[in-house]
Amino acid sequence: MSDTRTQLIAMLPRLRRFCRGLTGSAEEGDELVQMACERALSRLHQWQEGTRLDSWLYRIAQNVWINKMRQEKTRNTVPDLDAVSAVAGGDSRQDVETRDLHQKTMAAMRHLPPDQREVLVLVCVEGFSYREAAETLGLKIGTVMSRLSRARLRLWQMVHGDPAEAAVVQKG
Amino acid sequence: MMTRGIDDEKLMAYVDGELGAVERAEVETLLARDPSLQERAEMFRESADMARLALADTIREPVPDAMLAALQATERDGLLKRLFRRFGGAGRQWSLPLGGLELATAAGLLLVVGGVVGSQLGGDVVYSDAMDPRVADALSTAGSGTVVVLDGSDGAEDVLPLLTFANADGQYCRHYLHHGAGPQGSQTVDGVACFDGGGNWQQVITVRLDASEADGDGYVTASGGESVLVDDFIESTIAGAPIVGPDEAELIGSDWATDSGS
Repeated sequence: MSDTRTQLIAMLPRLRRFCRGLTGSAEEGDELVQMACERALSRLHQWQEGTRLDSWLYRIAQNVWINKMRQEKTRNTVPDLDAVSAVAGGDSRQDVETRDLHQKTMAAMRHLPPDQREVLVLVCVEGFSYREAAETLGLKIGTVMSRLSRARLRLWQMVHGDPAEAAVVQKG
Repeated sequence: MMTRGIDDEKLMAYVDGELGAVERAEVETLLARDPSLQERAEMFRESADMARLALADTIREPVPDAMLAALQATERDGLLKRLFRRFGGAGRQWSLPLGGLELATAAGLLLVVGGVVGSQLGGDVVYSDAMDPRVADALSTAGSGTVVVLDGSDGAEDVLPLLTFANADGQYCRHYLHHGAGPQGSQTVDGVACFDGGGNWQQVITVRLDASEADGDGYVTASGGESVLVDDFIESTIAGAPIVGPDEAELIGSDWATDSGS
């Protein structure tokens, strides 16, 4: 019991990162962490010893998030991409550019469909293999791959602007 | 999706190191003679880096204290509910078939839970209350996890010893719950009593919980007041491991080994 709690606390930084990636915002991410932890703690008995605790937590967070979005369908706080592009102007110093790129990427991630976003975060941010992501999300590997490739192409296009070369190849 | 015999997903899987040796070699052959395919592979590589780096700093941020505190509060809440469900609850199923290892586990749990009651519920903290002789008797004779219905209460009042341990002074102490206490029988007292050299149980800390607010699960809700950590108290006074199973039974049988401290 207390072991699991210790593990859970040790996992908080990663859970925060995952939730921030899902929600695209620090505050909403932390709020999601909170909700996910509450649910996880009330269901600790459902976690199977010997299976990955992180994957179980991510699954819970993802479920909470999906439900939350369903309930808040009317809300639309996704930032305007143009506004984000404006941020990317300004100073040309490299750290500023880097920061701007990160902000732009975060904003772009928020524009991805949720089902693409969760796969993107699991694989590219959390380093899950396709199989692990599929098991965590209850999807087929093929579904993970198609969502992931679409998510990455869209992300790249949104951040770097020119979709021309991507569009040429992406006929299907 | 398909270009020159390779689709996006396979190209991406190559970039991500998800392909087997044969497919990897295929992709590399195609990549070697197709710059546009290389560009596209680069796009997959970059997009993964972008996502990873955009969130990289998050992991180095310290976890906010408020988050940890909320987590702990949540956990206590959950443990408390389980405690009351297990030992009390609407059905008042008190029997607790514990033995050996299982008891040790339960004792470990209860060590945590004991404090939960205090910290979660607040309540009035009373030091050195006069010990009800019936409660003292129950603490002397009942094993942990055994409910003792108090004489003359018509079944409405009982004591549940939760844990036995020795403190740093070599005294034996018991953590217990006393249900049905108070003028209207509406209170649960969460307490620790230690067996002093004179052969008496001395209450060292008690927290009154207002059980009138208990819900259907027997979960006692917070009644305000100052939070008290009974588990902190136990943790700060316990010497060694909790005394469980046969060891506890032996203590009870020897009337708390009044001649020896540890």
